[in-house]
Amino acid sequence: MKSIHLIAAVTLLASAIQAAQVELNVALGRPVLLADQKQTTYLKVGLTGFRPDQHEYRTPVNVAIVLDRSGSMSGEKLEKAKAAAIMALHRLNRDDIISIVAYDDSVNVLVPATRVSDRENITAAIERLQPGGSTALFAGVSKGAAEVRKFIEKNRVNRVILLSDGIANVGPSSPATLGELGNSLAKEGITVSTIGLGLGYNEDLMTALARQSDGYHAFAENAGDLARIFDKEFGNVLSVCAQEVTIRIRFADGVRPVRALGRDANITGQNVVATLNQLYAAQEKYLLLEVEVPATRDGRSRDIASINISYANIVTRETDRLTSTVSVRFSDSAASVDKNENRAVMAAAVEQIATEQNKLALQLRDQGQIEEARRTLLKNREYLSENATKYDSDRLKDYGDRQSDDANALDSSGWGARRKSMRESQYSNQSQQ
Amino acid sequence: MKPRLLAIYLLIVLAPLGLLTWFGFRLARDEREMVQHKYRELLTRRLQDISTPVTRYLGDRERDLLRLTNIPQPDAESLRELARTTPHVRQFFVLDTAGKVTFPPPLGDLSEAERDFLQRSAQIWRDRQNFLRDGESSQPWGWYTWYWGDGLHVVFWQRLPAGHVVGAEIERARLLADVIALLPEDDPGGRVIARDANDTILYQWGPASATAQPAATVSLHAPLASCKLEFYPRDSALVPPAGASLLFSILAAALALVLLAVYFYREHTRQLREAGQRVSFVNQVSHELKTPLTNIRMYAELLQAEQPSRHLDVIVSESQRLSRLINNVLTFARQQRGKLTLHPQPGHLDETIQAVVEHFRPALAAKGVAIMVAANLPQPVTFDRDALEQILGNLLSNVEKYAATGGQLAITAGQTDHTVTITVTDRGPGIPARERDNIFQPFHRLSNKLTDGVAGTGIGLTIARDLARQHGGDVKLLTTATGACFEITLKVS
Repeated sequence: MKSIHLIAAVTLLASAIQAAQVELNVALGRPVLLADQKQTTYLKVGLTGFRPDQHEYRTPVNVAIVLDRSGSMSGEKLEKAKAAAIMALHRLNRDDIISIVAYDDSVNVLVPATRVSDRENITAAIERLQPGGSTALFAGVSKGAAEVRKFIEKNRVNRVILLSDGIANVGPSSPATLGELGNSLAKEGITVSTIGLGLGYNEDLMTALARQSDGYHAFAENAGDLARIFDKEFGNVLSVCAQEVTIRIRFADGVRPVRALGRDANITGQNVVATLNQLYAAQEKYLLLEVEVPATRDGRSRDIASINISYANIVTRETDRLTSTVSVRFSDSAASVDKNENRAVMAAAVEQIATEQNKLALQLRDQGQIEEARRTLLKNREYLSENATKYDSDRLKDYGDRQSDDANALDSSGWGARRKSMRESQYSNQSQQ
Repeated sequence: MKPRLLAIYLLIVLAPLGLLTWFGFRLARDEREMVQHKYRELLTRRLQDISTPVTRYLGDRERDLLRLTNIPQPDAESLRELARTTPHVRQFFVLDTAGKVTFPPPLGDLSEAERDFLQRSAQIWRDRQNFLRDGESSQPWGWYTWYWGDGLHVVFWQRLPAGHVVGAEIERARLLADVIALLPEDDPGGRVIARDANDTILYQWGPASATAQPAATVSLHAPLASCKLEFYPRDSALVPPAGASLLFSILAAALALVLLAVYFYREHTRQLREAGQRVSFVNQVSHELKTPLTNIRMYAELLQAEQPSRHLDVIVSESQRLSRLINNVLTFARQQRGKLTLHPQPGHLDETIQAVVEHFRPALAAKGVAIMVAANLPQPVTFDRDALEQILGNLLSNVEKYAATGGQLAITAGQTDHTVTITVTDRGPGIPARERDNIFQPFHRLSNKLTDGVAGTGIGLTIARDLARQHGGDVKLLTTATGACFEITLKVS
């Protein structure tokens, strides 16, 4: 009896080993540092999702589509939104769960959380949507989340997809409050993705809501973009391979984590904890930390940190753990420091720092300091193009070019749309969307 | 006459109408208030029904938190891990037995979120007594809400047997979201609005309502006691159906009253007109009768002087009676038209009284009435002879008709300065006390045995008094033991 158990356990273990795993890639921006001086470097903890074998496995989905049907949605916008929702519906399996919620002055759960087996009725419910009055966005998300919660399961992709084209004018509407709600839902394993349509929505609120749960955020300037965006988002949803990803980093004595770039992380003394709600197949997400390393003599090496990752593997339905450690060497030679520089990590750090500058410029523009904002953006472009050459990164170069576009739009009539696309790319950079 | 009549009719219509309206509106108002009160109660109950799952939900959270914060030996690492994974909790905190914050450690390593928490909660630590007040009553736990930055913040705390306090700051936005998710979306017969502490709308459902004030309000359970549900009923539901029907019934009553008043007014004026026509007819007839009668009487008296005869006496007496009657009618008619005027001329009162008495003497004598005249007014005065004759004639005619059974008639006359007083006293059955005031009213006749079988117009005494008053005097009925005693006073010069 005992031996049979043992054999079963071994078989299970073997299959777990064979099953695909998240790839952990820990690296320092400068693995070799100058000796005898206190300095900072960047630690990047990269996680790349695996591609589940599509023949044997398909990620089960539990999604609530929350649609804006305020008066401003009438006409093409609502028609395209309906079409996009119906298209998304057809990407789901019979066993997936969907709910459709629409909001204007109030909220109506058009399709309570149900299995996708009855596509006709769900389609009909979507088709029946009529535009109404105001925008009770908070209540819409609340009800959408409640529908998802009915079938919430650890091994499903639990997600609220919110579409809005207007300012939330009924119910709580501050980005901070929506951020709190997103945070709370993230803790439960519910991700909120937000799609802003047209030029009327509040991008700060929409990004705040998506940010905490690492959801998707997109700016659809035209209703025609909705199909593409829904398609991308459902592609994301169906490619989730890991959830509840927790990164714990314990820094060695003397090494101090200064701040996290881009993504939020809880830094307490020597400990850093960060959470990612999910990883998508073949897509890298990373946590980037600025680290202060004490002065050390030439030739010595120093442990920087030990990294522990845990995540729920959606295929095996088990909690997988990954560990890694990272250390740094010290050298008197500046050439050796430069030669060993990790270009990918440094490029990521540059991108995050430039994103922060881009955010600052947007904030300055909001305060009416247009010239100040322009200077910040142009300086940012210099910074990016310099580093693009240094680290041979097209991505940085592109982002640098976009800085001058941003600067040109600062006092043009197209600022409304530009602000939304800036927020979108800031969000995209910070969450590696 | 006419404006007064109109005023009376207006009063008849308006007074009851006003009263009816007043009572109607009072009644309707009372009823409306009662209906509204009941309606409010009903709506409040409905709101309570709606809020029942919310109350249950918040109670569940309270139990969860009691369990979650029941940490006998809290340590930083597990509290951080708990906060990271508990959806409803944003941050945990610990106070030692002295009430000082030990977690998040104010002097130790803090995450950014913990620093923010200490900053926004600084005021509640300063205000510790107030914050831990709930515990003094019975339970060693409670809620506390405070304003900081852009909104309300809520903590739940529990004092453990060891003396320290473990608490949790709640994700208020999440609490609100869950409450909203519990609220229904079906039409409750109006609009229900859930409002936050600062009166902003959290959630609303049901058809929009035109009413500005909520008909019912219910507060939510702690820690959302500052939030409330308000019921705005559909407008039709609150308007009492009495309003329109009340107005209608008042209008109907007003119409009925006006019609009734118009009917009475027309009837009244018709009667007045008919009476006027009758009077004028009688008047004209009397005028027409007067001339031939005067001729008959004159020739009868001439004939009587030439060859006295018992038959002629009757003719003269009856014609005199008839002319008195006609005079009375004409005088009454003149008086009614306000055209009664006197023509005073110098003369002797004695003679006038004597002449009247002589006229009646044969008729009274025939009925066995003894006449005593004590007139002592020899000096000439100015007075209307016809008027005095008519007054005395009417009084003596009454004696003849009604008081002949007494067998006695006494007439006295006296004069002081410019006032002449003449009394006519009989020993007849007298006049009952209750009729004393009525006998001078026109057309009033004593409806007792006295009048049975005796003809009369009922205007004699009225004319007598009107003429005396026109003459500056009066006719009064004096109180006597037996019979009747009329006193005539006249102003003379």
